[in-house]
Amino acid sequence: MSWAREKRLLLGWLALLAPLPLPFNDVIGWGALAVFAAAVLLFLRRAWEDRGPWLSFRAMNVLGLVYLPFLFADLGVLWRGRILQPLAHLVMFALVVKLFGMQRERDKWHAVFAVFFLFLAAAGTSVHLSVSLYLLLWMGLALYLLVRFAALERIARLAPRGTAPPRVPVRGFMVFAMAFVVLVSIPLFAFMPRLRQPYIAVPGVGSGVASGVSGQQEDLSLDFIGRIRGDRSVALRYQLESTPPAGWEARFRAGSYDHFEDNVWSRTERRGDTRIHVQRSVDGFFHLREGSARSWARIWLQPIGGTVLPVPVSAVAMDVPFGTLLTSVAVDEAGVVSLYGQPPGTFTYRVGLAGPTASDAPRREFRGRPPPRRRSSAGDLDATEVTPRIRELAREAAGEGSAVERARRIERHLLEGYGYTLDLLGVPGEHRVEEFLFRHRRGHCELFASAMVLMLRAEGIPARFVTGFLGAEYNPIESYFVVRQSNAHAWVEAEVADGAWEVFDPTPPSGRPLMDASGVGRMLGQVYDFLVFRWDRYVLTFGFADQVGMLFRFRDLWGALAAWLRSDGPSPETEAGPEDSAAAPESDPAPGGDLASPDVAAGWLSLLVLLLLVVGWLWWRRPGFTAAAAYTALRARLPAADRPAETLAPLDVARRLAVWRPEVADASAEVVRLYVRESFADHPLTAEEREDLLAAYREATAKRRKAS
Amino acid sequence: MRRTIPEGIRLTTVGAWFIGVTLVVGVAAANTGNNALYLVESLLLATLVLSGVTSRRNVRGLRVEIEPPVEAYANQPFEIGFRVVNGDRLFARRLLALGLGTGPETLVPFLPAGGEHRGRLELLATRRGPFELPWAHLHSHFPLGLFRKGVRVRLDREMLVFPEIFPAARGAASQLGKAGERSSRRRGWGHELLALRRFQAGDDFRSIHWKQSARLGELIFMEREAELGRRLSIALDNAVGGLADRRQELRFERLVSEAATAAHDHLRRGYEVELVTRNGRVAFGTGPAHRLRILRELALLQPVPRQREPLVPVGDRRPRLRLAMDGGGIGA
Repeated sequence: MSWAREKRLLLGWLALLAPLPLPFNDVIGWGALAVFAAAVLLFLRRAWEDRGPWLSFRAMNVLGLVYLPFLFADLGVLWRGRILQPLAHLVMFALVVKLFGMQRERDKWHAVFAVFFLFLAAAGTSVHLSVSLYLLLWMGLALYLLVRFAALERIARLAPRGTAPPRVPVRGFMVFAMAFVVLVSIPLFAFMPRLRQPYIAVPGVGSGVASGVSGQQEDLSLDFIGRIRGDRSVALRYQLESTPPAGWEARFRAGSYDHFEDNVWSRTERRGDTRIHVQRSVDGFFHLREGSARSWARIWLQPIGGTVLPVPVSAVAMDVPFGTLLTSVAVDEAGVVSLYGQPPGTFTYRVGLAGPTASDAPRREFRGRPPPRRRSSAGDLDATEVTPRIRELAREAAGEGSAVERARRIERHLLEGYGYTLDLLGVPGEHRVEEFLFRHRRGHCELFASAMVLMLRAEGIPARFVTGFLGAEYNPIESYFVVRQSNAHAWVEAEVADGAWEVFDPTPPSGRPLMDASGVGRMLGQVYDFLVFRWDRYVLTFGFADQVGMLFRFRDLWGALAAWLRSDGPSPETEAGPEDSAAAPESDPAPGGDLASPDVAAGWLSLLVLLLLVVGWLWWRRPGFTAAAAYTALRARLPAADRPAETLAPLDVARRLAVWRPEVADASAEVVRLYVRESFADHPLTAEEREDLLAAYREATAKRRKAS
Repeated sequence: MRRTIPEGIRLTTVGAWFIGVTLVVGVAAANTGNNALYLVESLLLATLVLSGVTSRRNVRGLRVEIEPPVEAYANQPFEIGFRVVNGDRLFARRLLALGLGTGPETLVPFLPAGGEHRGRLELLATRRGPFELPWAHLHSHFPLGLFRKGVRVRLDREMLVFPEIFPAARGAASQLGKAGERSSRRRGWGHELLALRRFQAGDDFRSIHWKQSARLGELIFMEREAELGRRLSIALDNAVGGLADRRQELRFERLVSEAATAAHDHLRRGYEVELVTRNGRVAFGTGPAHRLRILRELALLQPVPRQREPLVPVGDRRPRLRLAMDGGGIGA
């Protein structure tokens, strides 16, 4: 293969690969990519056949002029002045022209720059996990290209003319180089200074952005949640930092609605913002309501295209990691927490969970003033759609007693008297709740919850229709829970006493989202989700706070190891319980004190790996199988009577070996010859001689054994 | 003792561009907070580290041995055999450029782990005399061509470069051809035939002319001319004092080369050659060993202070070649 052909082929393949993620990121259209790919494939074919003619310099200039009108149209019309897309088109065009006109050495580097720009645009706008494969593939090919270019340049300069170009095998080096680059880039990525909050450039098809999430809508039809129950995309992930309080239930509140009309739930607050602005308190927390925290959960909310932060219904406080610029959040009458702006990417926050007082978990009391207790409003008793039939049914089901007793009877009535189905999704009806209660007697969670709200209001009990997520899928790989869109759910919150709101879920258990799952497919899904989570968590949203946390973890790990080495148990300063973790929220809880904790185990594992590496290195660097060693071993095989004195010459040893075992004479003589050469002629053995030595020694040993 | 001594690192044009691009991407990453750009930046930095570490390793752990030629003449290219050994059992070495500090470099394309490479390196010495080869210089652009890393390996070798040999027509020695071939017409043990006669008792059987013996039916003996006629005595007066300028230096060097050319040429033609200088005398002799003796003497010849008495060869040998700064020539 000629050198020019090899260079063209390498550049062609790299150019073909570079812009592949761009259409996924909505930077260019699929059409543009198809045209580019076709042109590059044509170039690759010509390069493969090694035939010209290639474009002249004048032709390239003419083509550049021809493209100018397209560029202006691109800038002004097609993309409304956005710069990246027309620039990408321009570079792709220039790259194709340059590839076809590549004749001088500098043209090659021009093309390399254009390819790199496309790669940068593709990588910089990609957020999906799969871009890591693209990065690896591109880096591998780019490294190979640079290696070959450097080799060809050296060979052209230094190799003698008129001879075949020397072969420079680089396969092994490429494997090493890729492993090296990947391993070194990880700490570099982790410790490069972060001056700004992580920014995710372009949401697109590959970004994992959900199109609609439970609780983010102002108006909610009765079919919305039922429709997204098949959506497996991740809404949020959470991790319990300690044992949750007794009675903990993974029920995340994301939206509440009080007005029901024409089969649509809406919020009366839309007509006048009644949200409470909760500032960060002096102790650093956002107090969502009165109460003390028994444990904490860390939540990673996916970019869901809204401002609502789903929080567990038992949440009493909230906290954001160190470095997050957040001074206040909004809490509405139903306790739904929202931000004042849409978070740019995965948003991390912690919530303190209240629990029954019987829990023996340490209690975290908060300083500062919590927002006032939620009181029912007129909207919570809005009986617009409460028909006489519903009122009559409610009266029958509720019976007599306190509000909570009546509410529970209504809940039980729906739980036991009605069936769950998704078959009625989208079935039109004038009053679908009434049709659910009296005609179909089957339905999905929104119908159950809507029916209960109306029945409670018919009984004069303030109630709201609440949406959010119920249940989660446990991922054992990193002990976190995944809440998907399919966990979307609707339930009821009612004020059963003055300011005391309670959750009621009238949906039958068969209709509630699964709490857990099993199976091989699910396990693979968990692995994939783990990778996606890691990617989101430690790549896309990795920021300054994570770097600080990482340093704390190293410090704690070092402290634990030092304490263990002192053999006086875990050091007190590294012991951290849930209370301390709440006090220092930016660092992960209790990493140091427990020698069996994952962090310490990881530290031990790292040390073990390091030790193995050192031992392996020393083993590799050990003195080789020398002729002296082979000679000594052979001499030791001689019978005691024939064993020579230390001063006996090596050639005598060879002679005695030949007398003792004639069949090993030749092999022994070879070993002795190489021994003399190595030890007395000051001639280090070459690789071939070492191989000869090993073969002779093995032959001598084998024949001696056979003879014995 | 360290076998290799680093000779520093030099950034190539490609490397400068690479670092520039890395800086630009780094600024973009820091300015936007885009972790994807940070990822690209970390890969670029890791590639730089790879290039630095690998190129450094690529020129380390090497052993260089050279085999100077037996004869090397000034201003005439000669080849030196070399052997590069990779003492590293883990990593191969690639794309090494080997030079000896003068002359062109040669490429060692691939050295397997623990392997060796043999080759020849062309050199040119511009002066006669000791030619020092203290170091072998190795450098490499491997792997990515971003850096040029170099080391030098101690050789501590020295070879002797003989004086320049002129083409026969150029020097005064060319005039010696006829003079040296004049017949002495005396019996002796030379190479030229003097006469044929009948074989007598005591004659050397090796000198029987077998063709004539067969033709005449009796043993015919070849009498050879005495060797005196094929002797050359070269007198080079190196008592020239301090050489004032470059011109005089060149002139002295030319005289030395004339002497070397004459000796080289006549020895090749079978003459006995003697060299007389102020340093001493190399007696008449023939053969390759004698040629090397004369050339070695001439290679090391240095000017000495001027002396009154003239330089004369020992004995009365003809013809002579007298070479001196104040005019030399052919003696009769």
